[in-house]
Amino acid sequence: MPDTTSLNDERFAEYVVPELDVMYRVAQSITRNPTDAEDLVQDTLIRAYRAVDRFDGRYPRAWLLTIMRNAQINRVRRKRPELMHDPDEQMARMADDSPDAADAETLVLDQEFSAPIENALAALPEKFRLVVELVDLNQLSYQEAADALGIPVGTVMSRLHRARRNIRQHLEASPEEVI
Amino acid sequence: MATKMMSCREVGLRLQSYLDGELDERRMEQIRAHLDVCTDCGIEASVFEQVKADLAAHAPKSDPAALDRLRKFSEEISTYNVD
Repeated sequence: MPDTTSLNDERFAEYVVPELDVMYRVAQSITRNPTDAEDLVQDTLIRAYRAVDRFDGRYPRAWLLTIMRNAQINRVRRKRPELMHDPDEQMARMADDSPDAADAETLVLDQEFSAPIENALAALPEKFRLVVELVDLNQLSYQEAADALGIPVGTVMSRLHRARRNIRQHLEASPEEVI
Repeated sequence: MATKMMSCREVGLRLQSYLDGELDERRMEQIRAHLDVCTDCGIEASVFEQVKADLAAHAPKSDPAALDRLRKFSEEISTYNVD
């Protein structure tokens, strides 16, 4: 009879490992930093492994994104306890810290050479940019984005739709920047 | 029985969810039928389809080295003390 560890390993391989790429991309959107994204995915993997014996097998991506959100909230709480008063604000400001000097240089270079659509995305307020990144760039469903951000599906929809209208206006206001 | 045609306003309210495939099949069909015959809504849909396509084309790629490290971490996770 297989022992508990090997059963958990099988369930982990079946439900969790196929979602690694999505988890990493979503973590990059949330943390805005590749190193923090990798750390966040590792935290999520550890939490998922601990809980996989109780997971019912339905909607593994939604389950993992919920775990990731909780893991990130704990990370932010450890680093920036003052951000924890407003639950919406804490998700909007999930990017862990201000960029360091090297990151700032990269941001400037990125800005200089990036496409108009990227400038339009960067101009969005953080909470709007996040839903666009999750749904339009990372191809999550509304429900999956809601799970990742801990907000209702209706809020995902309203932020996404408003963000797209803003992006459209931004592009229309920059006619010299052809997509 | 023929389904009642949606108004432009009703289509406008649901257009983004339609483009994301987030409506039930009946609503999807109603909007498809409207877009087939309404030039203004058709143009509106095309603009947002283009915005969505441009955004998708700029999706960041995962760093292969980072993914390899995470796969290795996953394979070895039972050997870590996770309890």
